[in-house]
Amino acid sequence: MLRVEARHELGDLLLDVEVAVERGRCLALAGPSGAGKTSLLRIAAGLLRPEHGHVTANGETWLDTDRGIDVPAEQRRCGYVFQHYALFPHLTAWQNVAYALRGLPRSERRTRATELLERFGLGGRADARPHTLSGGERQRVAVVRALARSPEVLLLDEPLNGLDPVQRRHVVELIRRLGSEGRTVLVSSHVLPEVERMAPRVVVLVNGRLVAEGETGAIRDLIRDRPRTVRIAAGAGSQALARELVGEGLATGVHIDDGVLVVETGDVDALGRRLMPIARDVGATLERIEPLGDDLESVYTYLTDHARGRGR
Amino acid sequence: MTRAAWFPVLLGLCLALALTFLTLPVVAIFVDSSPGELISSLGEEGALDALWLSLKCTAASIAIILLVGTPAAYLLATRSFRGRALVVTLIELPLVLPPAVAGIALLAAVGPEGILGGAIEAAGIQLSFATAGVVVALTFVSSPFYVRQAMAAFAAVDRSLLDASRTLGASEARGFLRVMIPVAIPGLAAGTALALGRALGEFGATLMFAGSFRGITQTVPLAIYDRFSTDFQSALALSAVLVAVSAAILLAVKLVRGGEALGVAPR
Repeated sequence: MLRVEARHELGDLLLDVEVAVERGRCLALAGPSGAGKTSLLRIAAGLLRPEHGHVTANGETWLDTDRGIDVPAEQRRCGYVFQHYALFPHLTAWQNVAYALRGLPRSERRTRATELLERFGLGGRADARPHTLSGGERQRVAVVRALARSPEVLLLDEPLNGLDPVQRRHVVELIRRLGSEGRTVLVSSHVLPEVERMAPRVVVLVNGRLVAEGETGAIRDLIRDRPRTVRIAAGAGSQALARELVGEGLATGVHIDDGVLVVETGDVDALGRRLMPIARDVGATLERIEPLGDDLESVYTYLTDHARGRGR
Repeated sequence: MTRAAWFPVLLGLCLALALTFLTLPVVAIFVDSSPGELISSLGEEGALDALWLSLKCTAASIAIILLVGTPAAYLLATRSFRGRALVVTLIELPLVLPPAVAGIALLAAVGPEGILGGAIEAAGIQLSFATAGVVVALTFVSSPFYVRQAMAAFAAVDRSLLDASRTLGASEARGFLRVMIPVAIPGLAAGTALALGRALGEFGATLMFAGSFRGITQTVPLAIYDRFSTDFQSALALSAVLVAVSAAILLAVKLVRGGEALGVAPR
């Protein structure tokens, strides 16, 4: 169980969150850039001390500003995968991993590090320096290094950033594997659709506050079912089409802007399914269909408004 | 000549002028004396002593500068605190101090009549007109060259490397030794070379503070000045040696920088 509760001012942003991950579960932390995701992870790891906060992990208190407890980062048993990997450039892949394996004889550290790299398909790259590795390989070395001390808690900051689709798939599989191995994992990403592939649960952070949390499926439904605006150019049949859409309950609001229908709908999928048949029935010709608000930013805006509407 | 061609010609002329002006005096040292003469004047009494003393004092002062300057530079590069800019300025001050002023200042501080003179004498340490005094003078004038460069080198290191080191269970001290220093090494080496060059050539502060006694405080630059009126040939020979050593240092820095370009050092 990892529980992070923090209030901290960061320039213009007031971070005020409480996040909990059950032991052996994986939680995704989604939200746009600048929402405070990295700061939250840094607070959990002990790299950033909030003005006010509590961090507990599996019964241990790592931070309690009320009682003046602040376990230093090097003593928190928690692996951290940094956004730009933060591999030591002067060390080879195995040496990067072995850096975490203190207190063992050198030869044993090498063996252990190489074994770990092999488990993650990096056996052949043990002697390579970070700058000769591909982005995906660097990411995996960073994960292996973070796991070397067998931490119970693993934090990953934007692990999919800067990777191509194939590498993304590898890293997603890797993260799912980490979750299934019984570690408590908190992973951040600014790309919502990717989050659901990484973790069964998600919390959404916007402007330093949680605006949504739940099973990734539920969040996906919430996003899918949000009211949407669709612009439909249907020429002369526009009036008839509008009347029919409202009649069937597919549109909650319609107006005509410069000859183009602007339809507000609560169920964009149903509208998509029914639009063609209805247009055929009323004799309207569909010239152009343009759904608005499909970008991530409007999704986050919607989630923020939705949270406000629920009185959070 | 076309109208457009005059500018490249001007550029070339300026470069040729600069090159001639800067290399001619150095070349002249070697033209005026044959290698045989150089070697035989080196064999003269005192010349090798001066060279040995120079190397010894420079090595001692560089050791002190590295040992104290590296952690100090790291602190200045990684922490922000009130008065940091003032501290940096004070540390850089000797850079712009005329050597004669540096010598007087050292006398006033740690000379026999200086503010700390009594304490140093009580501790049984002789600085002025002693070899230890040369080391003090060299350290004073050359440490800012190193600290400045080392600060820049540490500041350029990605801070997340230090964070990564901490999350891997390493104390800050271990991160400093095992990550920060190796990653900053090209910059630290460049700083060392600058300080080394400055220390080897130091003249004014040493002369004022430690004096010019053969075998005790007479480093190569002081020996050159000492011989210059009486034995020009020997002065030339010593100069040639200094040129060779300085050129070797410059070359070493270029090689370290070359390594950086090859990706040995950080991005």
